[in-house]
Amino acid sequence: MALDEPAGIASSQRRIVTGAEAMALAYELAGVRIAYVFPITPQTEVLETMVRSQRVRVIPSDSEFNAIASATGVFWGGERCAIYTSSQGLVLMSEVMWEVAGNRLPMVMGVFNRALRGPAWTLGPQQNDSLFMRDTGWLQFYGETAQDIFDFTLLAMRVAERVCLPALVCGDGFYLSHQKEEIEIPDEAAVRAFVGELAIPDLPDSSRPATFGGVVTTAQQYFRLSERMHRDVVGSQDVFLEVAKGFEVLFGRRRTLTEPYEMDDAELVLMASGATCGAVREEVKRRRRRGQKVGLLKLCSIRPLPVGELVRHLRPGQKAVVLDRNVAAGTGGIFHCEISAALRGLVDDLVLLGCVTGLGGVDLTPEAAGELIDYLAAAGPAQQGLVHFLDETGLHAVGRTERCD
Amino acid sequence: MRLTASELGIRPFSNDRYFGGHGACPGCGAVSMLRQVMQTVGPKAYYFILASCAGSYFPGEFTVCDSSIIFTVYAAGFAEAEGMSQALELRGRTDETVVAYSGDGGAFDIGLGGLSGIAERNANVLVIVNDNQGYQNTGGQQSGGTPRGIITKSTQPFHQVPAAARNRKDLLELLAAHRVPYLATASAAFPRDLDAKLRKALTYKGFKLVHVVTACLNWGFESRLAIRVARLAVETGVHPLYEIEGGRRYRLSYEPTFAPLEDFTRLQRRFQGVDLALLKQDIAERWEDLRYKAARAWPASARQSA
Repeated sequence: MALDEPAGIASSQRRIVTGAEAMALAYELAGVRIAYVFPITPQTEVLETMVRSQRVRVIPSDSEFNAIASATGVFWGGERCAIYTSSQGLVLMSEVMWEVAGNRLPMVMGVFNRALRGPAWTLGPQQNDSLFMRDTGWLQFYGETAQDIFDFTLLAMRVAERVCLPALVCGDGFYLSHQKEEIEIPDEAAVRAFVGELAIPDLPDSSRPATFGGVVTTAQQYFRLSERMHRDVVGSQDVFLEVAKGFEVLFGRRRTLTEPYEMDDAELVLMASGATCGAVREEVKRRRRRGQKVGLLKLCSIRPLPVGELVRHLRPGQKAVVLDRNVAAGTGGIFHCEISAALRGLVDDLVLLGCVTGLGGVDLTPEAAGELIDYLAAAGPAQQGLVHFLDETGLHAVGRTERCD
Repeated sequence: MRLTASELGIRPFSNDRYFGGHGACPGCGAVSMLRQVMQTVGPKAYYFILASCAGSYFPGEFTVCDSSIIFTVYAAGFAEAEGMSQALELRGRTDETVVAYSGDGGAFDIGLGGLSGIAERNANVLVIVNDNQGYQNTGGQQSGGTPRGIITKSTQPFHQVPAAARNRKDLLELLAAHRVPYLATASAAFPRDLDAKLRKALTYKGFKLVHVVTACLNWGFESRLAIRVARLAVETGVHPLYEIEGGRRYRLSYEPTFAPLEDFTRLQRRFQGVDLALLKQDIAERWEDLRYKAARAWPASARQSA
C-alpha cells in the first residue's frame, strides 16, 4: 500500500467515470471475484463495465430472482458476490431479500433507482424500488455523486459485515448511472486493506453439520430474532461512524449518514437524498447570495434512519421540508413519513413539511426548489397536514383527509 | 425383489447418515429414498432444501443427519445451490457436493425457471426431485407433476376439467432438451438402482438430476404400503427407470413386468372413480418413445463430457 507519508492517506488517482463504472470499480478493487448479473435499464452499465474485468467471474443469470438466489449461495460458500439491479428486477427479488436479511448474510447490492411499472412503464428515476425493501432488514444508502456510489459501496461492505446485515447502495438511474464525473479512485491495496477478508461468523461447514434457515419451534423465537434485527439496524448508525473513521484515515474523505450544507445558521432547511440534492444545493447557493438563511441536509441513508445525526443538525424554531423522489400512495413521501415519525418528541417546535418531487424522472430544477423555499418561508404548522407535490406545473398540496370528488 | 438391510448397506442406529427424530409423516415413502441418497452422497455435502415436505424431514432447531442443511424460499433453491458450488470451486473445496433437494412443485412448477437456468449453465449441482405427484405438504393439491385425471384437493370434479385437457409434465424430457450431462429416474423401492445412478451422477462435474417418484400418504393408501406402492409404480410401467446421458443417450435400467395398472391404482383412494384408459394410453406411448430413443445409436461424442 502506497501512503503519502505526512497525511497517511492512500495514494489515489482522479478518473472520469459514470456512477455505474464507479460501482463496478468499487467491487473489483475490493477483490470481489464473482458477480451474478441480469440486465435491466439503467443498471446494465454496471454489468457491461464488469464484463470487461479480467478478474471477476461474471455469470449471466436467468432472472433477477435467480441472480440474487445464486448470490446468496455464493455467500453461503464464504465468498463475496457482486450484484446490482434496478426497478422491476429489485421487486422480483423481494422474496429472497427477506431471506438474505433473515439469514444475516452481508450481501451488498447496487441499485440504480428507476420508477416501477405502476401507472405506466417508464425508465425515469424514482426511489420506490429500493424503498419497497425498507422493512426487509437491508441497510440502504443513497448517493448523490459517483464518488458517493464508490465510497458507499466500500463502506457498506464493512458495515454489513460488522452488523451481519445486507445493504443496498442506491443512486438515481441515469443521473448517476450514466453521467460522467471526476472522482477519486484510491489505490487497490488500500481498498483491499479497508474491506479485508469476508468474515461471516456462522457458515455451513461440512465438518460440522448443522441446519440453516429452518422452521422455528416457537413464535417467541421468531419474535426475538425480529427484535434483534431491528436493534442491529438501529445500531448500525454507530457502526457506520466507526467504519467511516477508518475510511477517513485511509482515504481522507469524511463520510457521514447526513451531510449538512449551509446549515449553521439556517432557518429554512431542505432535506433530500440522491441526485435531488444537486438542484437543491444550487438554489441554496443562490439564496445565500441574497442573504436568505437556507440550508440543505443531505440524507445518505434511510436504514439506518440517521436519527442521531438529524437531531444534531436540526434545531427548534426551524422550518424544514423533506423532498422525496418517491411516493407511498395514501401517505406521501417515504423519507418524510419516516423522519416526521422519528423526530416526534426529539426536536421541539419544528415545522416539518413533506414534498414529493421528480416522480418518473420529472426534472427538479433549482427554480422549482426556489418555489418550494418561498412556500416554506410562508408556511406554518397548518401545512404539516398536507402532502405537497412539486412538478413542472408548480406546487400542489393535498390534504390528508381530503376526499375524492 | 427382496433385500436385507445389510445388503442395502443401511445400518440403522449405527452408521446411518439420516436418523431418527425427523418430522416426516409415519409411513412417508420419501424418507427411505432420502436415507439412501444421504448414504451414497456421503457427509461432505450441502443440501439446499426448497420449500417442500422436506421442511418437516429436517427440523429447524436440531439436526437429524450428518450433512449441512440450508433451507431456501421456494423457487430460490436451485440458483442458491449453483452459487454455493461456484464459491466452493473458487475456494478450492472441490471434495464437497452441493445438492438441491426439491419436490415436484419446486422442480415442475414454481422453480422450473431456476432449474432450467442452472441446467443451461451446467452448474455443478446434484438435483434430487422428490416427486410425490402433488403439493402434498399443503395437504395434497394438484401440481404440474400430478398425473392426468386423478383426484387432488384442488382438482375440480372430473367432468369440469377434462383429463385430456391437461397432462403431467415430462421433467426429464424438458431437461434432456438442455443437453445436460446426466439425468435419471429412480425409485425408493429399487435401492440398488438408485445407488448406482447416484454414484454415476457424481462422476460428472456439472448438472445431474435424479428424479424419484415417492409414494405419499395423501395418495390414500395404508401407511405400511409406501414401498409396495412405489414398486408397483415401476412394475406397472407408470414410472419407468432409465437414464439419459448428454441429453441424447437413453438407457432403460429396468425392464418391468408390466403388471396391470389396476394393481397400482386400487391401493390408492386418489384413483377412485378415475377412467384409467387415458393413463394406460399415456403409459403405452411413453414406453414406445423410450424404447425408440434407447435403441437409437449415438456416437460416443454425443455423450457430453464434463
